[in-house]
Amino acid sequence: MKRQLELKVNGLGYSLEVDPHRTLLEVIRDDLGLTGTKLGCGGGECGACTVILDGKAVKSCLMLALDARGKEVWTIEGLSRGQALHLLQQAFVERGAIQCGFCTSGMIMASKALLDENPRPSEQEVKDSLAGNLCRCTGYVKIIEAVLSVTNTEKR
Amino acid sequence: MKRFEILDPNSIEETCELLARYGEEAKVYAGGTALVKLMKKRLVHPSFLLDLKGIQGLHFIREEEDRLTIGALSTLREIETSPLVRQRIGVLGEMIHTIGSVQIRNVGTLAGNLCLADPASDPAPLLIALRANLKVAGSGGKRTIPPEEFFSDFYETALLPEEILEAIEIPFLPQHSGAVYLKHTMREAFDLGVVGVAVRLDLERKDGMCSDVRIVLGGVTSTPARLQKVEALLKGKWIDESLIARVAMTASGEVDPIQDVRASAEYRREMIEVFVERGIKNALERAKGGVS
Amino acid sequence: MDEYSVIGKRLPRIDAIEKATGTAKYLGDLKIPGMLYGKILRSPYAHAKILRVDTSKAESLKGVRAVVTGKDTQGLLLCVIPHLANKTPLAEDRVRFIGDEIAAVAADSEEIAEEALDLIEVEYEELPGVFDPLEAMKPGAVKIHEKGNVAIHISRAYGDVDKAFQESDYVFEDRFETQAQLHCCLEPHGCIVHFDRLGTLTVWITTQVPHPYRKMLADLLKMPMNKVRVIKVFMGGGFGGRFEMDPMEIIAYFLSRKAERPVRIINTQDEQFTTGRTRYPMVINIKTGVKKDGTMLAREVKVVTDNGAYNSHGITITMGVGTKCTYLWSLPNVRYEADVVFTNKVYGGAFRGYGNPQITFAIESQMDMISEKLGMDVKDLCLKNANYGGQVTCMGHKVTSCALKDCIEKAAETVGWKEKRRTQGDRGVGMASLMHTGGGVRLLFGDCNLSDVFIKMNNDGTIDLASGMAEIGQGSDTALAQIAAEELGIKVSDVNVITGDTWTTPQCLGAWGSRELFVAGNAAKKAALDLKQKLLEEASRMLGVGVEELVAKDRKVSVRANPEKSASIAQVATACYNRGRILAGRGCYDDPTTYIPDANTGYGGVPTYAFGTHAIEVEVDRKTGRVKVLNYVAVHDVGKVINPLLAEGQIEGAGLQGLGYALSEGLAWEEGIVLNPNFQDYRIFYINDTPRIKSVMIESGDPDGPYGAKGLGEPGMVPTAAAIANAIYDAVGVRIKSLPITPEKILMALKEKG
Repeated sequence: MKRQLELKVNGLGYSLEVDPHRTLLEVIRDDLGLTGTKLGCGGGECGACTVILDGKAVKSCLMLALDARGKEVWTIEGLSRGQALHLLQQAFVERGAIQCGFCTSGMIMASKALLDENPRPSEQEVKDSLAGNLCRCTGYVKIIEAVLSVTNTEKR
Repeated sequence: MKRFEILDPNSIEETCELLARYGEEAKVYAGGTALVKLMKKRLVHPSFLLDLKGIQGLHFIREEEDRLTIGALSTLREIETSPLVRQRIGVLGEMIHTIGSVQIRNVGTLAGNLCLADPASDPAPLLIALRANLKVAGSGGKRTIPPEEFFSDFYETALLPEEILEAIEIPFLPQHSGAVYLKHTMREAFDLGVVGVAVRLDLERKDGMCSDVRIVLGGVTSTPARLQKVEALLKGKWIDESLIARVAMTASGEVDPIQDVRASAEYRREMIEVFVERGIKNALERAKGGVS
Repeated sequence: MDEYSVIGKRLPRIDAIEKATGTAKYLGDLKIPGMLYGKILRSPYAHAKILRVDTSKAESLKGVRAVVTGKDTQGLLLCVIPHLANKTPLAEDRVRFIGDEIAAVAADSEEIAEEALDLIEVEYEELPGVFDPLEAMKPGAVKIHEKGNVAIHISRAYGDVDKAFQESDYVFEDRFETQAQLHCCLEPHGCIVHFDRLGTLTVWITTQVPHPYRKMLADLLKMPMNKVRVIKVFMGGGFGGRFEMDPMEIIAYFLSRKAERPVRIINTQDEQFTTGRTRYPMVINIKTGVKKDGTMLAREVKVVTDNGAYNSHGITITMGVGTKCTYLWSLPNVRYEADVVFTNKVYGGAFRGYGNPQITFAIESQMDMISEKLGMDVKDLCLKNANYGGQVTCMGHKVTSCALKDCIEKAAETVGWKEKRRTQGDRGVGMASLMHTGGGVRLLFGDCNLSDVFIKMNNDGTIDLASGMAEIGQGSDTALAQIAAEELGIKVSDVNVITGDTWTTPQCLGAWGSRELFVAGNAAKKAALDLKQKLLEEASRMLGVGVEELVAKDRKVSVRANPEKSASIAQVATACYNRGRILAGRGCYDDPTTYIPDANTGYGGVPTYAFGTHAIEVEVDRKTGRVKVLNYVAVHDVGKVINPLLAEGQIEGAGLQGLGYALSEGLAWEEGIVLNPNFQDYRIFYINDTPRIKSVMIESGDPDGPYGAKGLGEPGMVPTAAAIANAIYDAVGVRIKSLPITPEKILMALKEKG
């Protein structure tokens, strides 16, 4: 039986009716058409589905959509405004931290959550916050460099 | 996933009623990361999910005179980053840091981890070592279960069908006590432990004899294993490096470690010896240094 | 001195912003109107006869639009090398590995499709299985295919190996074993297939080879090529795993035909791990004869490849290993024997390095052992035998550009070889070199190694560049844009690169064999020069000077001797347009080697070789066997660096993939069941496992590469395993000859050593 789901995504309010078995990832991608957040493994092991929920990075493939009731979600699409990129996006672009791009939105959202809490993390703190995000292409070297290069974020 | 309904009980009593009504068909959940994963793999298929997150009075980290009490809805990340935990039982935060990733810890609860009773659970051996108490509530009333009695088998706990874990109590370490949790993994992070060792060592005074000790292994048997024989060899003794080394050598003899795709039984045996030794040494240093 | 405007510059990839903002659409992001969701029923048995398949209940489930079985796909056989095909899209009477496709369903939703699978009834007669290729080779072993378990026996020899062994002062014999590594692309493999009412077949797919794939489809389904359209969308990784037709695409085709709607099939994580292609596991016996001064005389290699249940790239890879063992150190006498053997497990496919990581692990580990016996520093042994420009291998292959000696020296210097080698304690350094194709190879899809590029210039001087190349994350689109921009004197942002759709792009063999930069890069350069000629002719007319006096740079065409006299590119392009002249350029490039694929060797010519040396410093915990990589130096002879940012990315990514191959990854099986079908237990490396990787690029200036560039897609993971094994030996004195080199193996070896 479908249930009411009221939540905010990227600053916009939504009122949806969803079946309880649907994950937050499915609702974001299929119902809201925000396909920037990816389905990689579906089991919480790759981090490609990372979004920010009430300020905290979460793996949306393991979260029931209804558990986001009344909450605020930010996805990769919410970071940039028109052609203006968020500093993290800019850093990933400029520092070669993107190859196939499939892990990128998860990496950026997990990094954003970190920088919102801790604007000047150490290298180890960056690695700790990305510990559960997989990348098969880059070897992570440039991802770490990109995040470290952003030491102050704009307040959102 | 097979379809299900989500119910939102407002109280523990209501939760227990629902559990009584639906029995095997119902499962409680808070963070849900482990449950959703199991459901996606079709290993469990409850028809009803009881969302505990609406229940008041379960989301706290409190200091009482001689202990820390943590409510069932406190997330792993909240506990890990709690200033109270850092100051009073730092080893708890250290252990939680080794669990999964930040995203999982932001959602998963300590209570949920314990109730899953995964043999590789990190909190389980540490809570036994720290002499924690698990506060359980059910239709029959409340009771306290010591963690060593809580885990009965692979993914099975001593919880009765209509009971839920309400809170976890962890006593503060007295002076001249040290505790440590070491996790041996094949990768640097985001890895399930091949062996987990929790040690709590109490000295009668600084540089004194060992007055009490608990050594608990995780990830090697279906439930956490207390090394009581090893403990007995240390209790009442002056602990030095050679005693630690001798005692560690007997550690692997006390359990029959599992063999799985992560490691062979033989390797686990070797690691038990290495990490029991390292664990006792670490805990001793902390006991002497007064760091909890 | 800066001779180039954009070549050699650290520039962001041209598709980076799309990826960083989440606007890039990958296969799972596409919604085609009317699309159905397909699911495949797979065998739970490693080896069984199929007695009966009953799909009636599935067919009558509400929301199910088509069900297909082996009866529907009968007569079709799939393999990237068609004459070796023995895999049917859906099983007809037998299944040969757990995961073998039996039936499939297309429904209105994934949920309904899954439910329908549960309703398909299959009756099996289980058969015994064989899971070890050495067991499968024995007489009396369970027969997996009619013709027997040995798919092919390969036997080649060059020079006089026996005589050379006799002349050797020392002969070394060692056995090495390598495991099944998975690509672990983050994006699960999938396809959307639409066979429409006009008989046009459109396939949206993550493929590395759109044009060859189109031809394979047309040939297989007996359709005219112009009715087949393959569209490669943004891809979440390839690494060789998307280098062939997977049964799922043909299954989706039949579903689409029946349902008369587009059908999407995407792997679940379990399917990714249990039914995806792997790197072929090999048992390698290598025998090398040397003189006591270090001169290498002869090599005999015997390989047994675990082919899995069906033919794919196993035969060509094993043939390729035979060629590759004549490469490094260029021995004059080489003998090669190999058996490619079926087992009841998932079958392998192409994977970055195409057999070279396996054989290099053996060759370079043994080099280290040889040097120890001879009392030489392995660095000196390598320098003594190093390949060089102008060399001709025992197979008659010519080496053009080669900076191997420089790579060896630079790697040693950068890692601190002298100070760190053969010291006490638990730290050590090891090195290993590589020789690999740097521009593709004539091996598959015909006797050519071609790429075709078409460029048209718009009125404002911006260009649209179409290429049949495949951008799989390695940055080839960006490289082409840089090359075109350089030649035409425009900005990289003026270049619109169109790749991926076989209806709108010219032919190219695709992304494999480290070929795209070399082959497509040359084609792009040719096309740009073709267009430039017309541009300069128009400008010559406008400015009243000869073509040879003009230079195109900074979005202008100007007189070299008098730069004030110029016209903007937009002015020239508009002038052309107004006179009814078309400003377009075409460049079709095939590499200059002439060897066509030989039926015996399987290998054709390679236009140029990539070389490199990796030197790695490790620290081993003697109590646990855990290895910590302290320092990873990767030196590569790349000919010319087109974009250092992207080149470093390839080296770093391949390096970590190599480390995973060396230390941690590998599918584990028991009776054909995959025991670790997820990232957790498969033990792929995450961010905390990354060491510092220092990449150094040496520019040897290839005579045939665009601006002197050679390929770099694969070389980065070829020598890693051997370098690690050698470093571990240097650190704690144990030699591990099987991959992955796990802590358990190291600990057990240390205990044995005492």
